Amino acid sequence: MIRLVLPTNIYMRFLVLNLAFLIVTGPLVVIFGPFANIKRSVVGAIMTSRHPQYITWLLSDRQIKDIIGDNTNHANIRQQALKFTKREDDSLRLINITGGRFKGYLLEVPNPMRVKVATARDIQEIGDTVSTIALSHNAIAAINAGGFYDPEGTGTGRLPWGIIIRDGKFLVGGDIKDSIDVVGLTKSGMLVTGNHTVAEMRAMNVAEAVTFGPSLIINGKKLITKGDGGWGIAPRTAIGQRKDGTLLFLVIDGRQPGYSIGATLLDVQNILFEQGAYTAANLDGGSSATLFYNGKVINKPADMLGERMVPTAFIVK
Amino acid sequence: MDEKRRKLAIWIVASLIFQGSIYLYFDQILLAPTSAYEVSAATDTVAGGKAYYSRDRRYTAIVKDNSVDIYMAARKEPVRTVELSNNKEVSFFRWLKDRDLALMAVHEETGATSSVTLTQIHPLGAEHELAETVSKLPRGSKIVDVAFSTATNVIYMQVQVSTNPEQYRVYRTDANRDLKRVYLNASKIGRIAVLYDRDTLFYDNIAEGTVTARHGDGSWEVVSPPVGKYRLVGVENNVIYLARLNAQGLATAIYTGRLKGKFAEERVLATPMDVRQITVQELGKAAGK
Repeated sequence: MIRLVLPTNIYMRFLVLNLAFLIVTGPLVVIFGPFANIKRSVVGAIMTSRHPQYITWLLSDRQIKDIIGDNTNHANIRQQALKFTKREDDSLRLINITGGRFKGYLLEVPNPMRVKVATARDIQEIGDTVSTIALSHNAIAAINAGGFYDPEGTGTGRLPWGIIIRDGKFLVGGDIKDSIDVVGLTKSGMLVTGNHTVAEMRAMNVAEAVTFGPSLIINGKKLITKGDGGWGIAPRTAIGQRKDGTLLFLVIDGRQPGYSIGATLLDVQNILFEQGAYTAANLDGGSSATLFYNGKVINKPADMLGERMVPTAFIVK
Repeated sequence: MDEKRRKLAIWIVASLIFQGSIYLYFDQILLAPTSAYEVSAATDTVAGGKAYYSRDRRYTAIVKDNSVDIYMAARKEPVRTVELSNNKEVSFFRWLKDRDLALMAVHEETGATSSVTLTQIHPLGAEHELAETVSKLPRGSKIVDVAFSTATNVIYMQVQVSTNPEQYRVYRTDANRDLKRVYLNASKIGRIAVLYDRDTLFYDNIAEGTVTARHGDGSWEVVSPPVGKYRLVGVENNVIYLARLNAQGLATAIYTGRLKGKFAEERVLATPMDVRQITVQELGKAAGK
């Protein structure tokens, strides 16, 4: 016979019983209760994790979409061309971002022509850390860029998703027939984001690009207008561009309670919008989120072993 | 009985308040769609320029047209700034591999001519830094590459003297500060490199598609294989790296060999590429060396 041993102190007993009740009833309250933000964060986090089956057996696609919002790529929105004159001051400027639940950094790069895509030495075999990629290219700054196949979260940064364009040439994905998410820069330094075919990318003179998303700001308009973006709270990396051409590298730390638990896509969109972004897109986040600056990694990547191996980075030469 | 009921009611109300507070905190604060934030400028603003890292990453040099800022990795303030006057520009910068010392090349227009100077740079500054100057060069001349060996103390400077047509000269200096021009059998050359333990210069003749070794005594020999066109990639540990070119002038394969030895194909490149994008350092890394 099992006997439940409870503390004799009345307050401790109250606490233990309540926590036990909370643990037992929590999943039901989260999924079916009145707390929309908790529901959206939990469902969004599960759907973007490696185990969406934990929620898909319980809720239909329609219900899931209603909870986390329809996170389309706004493929029908076409970017207006931006023309900018080179700023006199070419200095990079680092800004600390401190929110209620996150800490991060925003790096201003006034001259977009200094930003290139750089890859791990052998992207089909193994990735490299952002700092290794940056140092091997003599870059002053770098952020992780495109996504990669990450089975069970043990991906080594090899096998990048989608496309990689460097110096106007397709290193990967030049033969993709369908339209695909792209985040990159044209020959004139304009940030391009959205869903495009290879032919469209060529027509737009995309010179440096990777695949990731979603787009957050296009033509100066926020794209997440309902919900939090649907991806829950996590470490984030994003890139934006002001009307004067200045590129913004944003990295938010996360998954580290007591320091920073992370940001929603809406947080990222709002930060970049308030910092003047006319165009912005999300990049690979999670434990890949890394900002290298002036010889060292300055954020705290969400991994016990530090920086993750990734296939690509946006570097500032 | 009433007392028990009252206690139970208090428990239930307290539990509802306690659990409701937890849910409300998560729902309205921690997991709200967006969170308020503050921005504050970090102190380490880095002026524009190209970054070069010293051998052990201890120093970072940020090189701009008219100045070089040297930072220590652990600090945010530059430990040294090399300011140049407006009529001088940096055209080359490289840290040495085995010591905290860099070489910087500067060019200056003086009327109808130019002068180029190669100077040593100590990261923390020094009372006197050695320099070699080549004067009375065609206007617009600049040092574009430097090949040197700390074993032989020989330094070769590749000076671009014309951009249209592309023309180069090579100057040599050594421990005796014996600066002189080295006459080559080509004026349009790509890269230069030297052996580590012997005064031998390698350069490629772009027009012919050959790679030549020129020895300190003035003798020379073509080292690239007789069939096909080649460009010099570099020399590392006395191993010579060549790129074989296709009809479009793009590298298709890497060949390695030694002086007086045969060259063998080391690898075929998956995609033909511009030779300028290939470095010995990258080839070594890719091979896991």
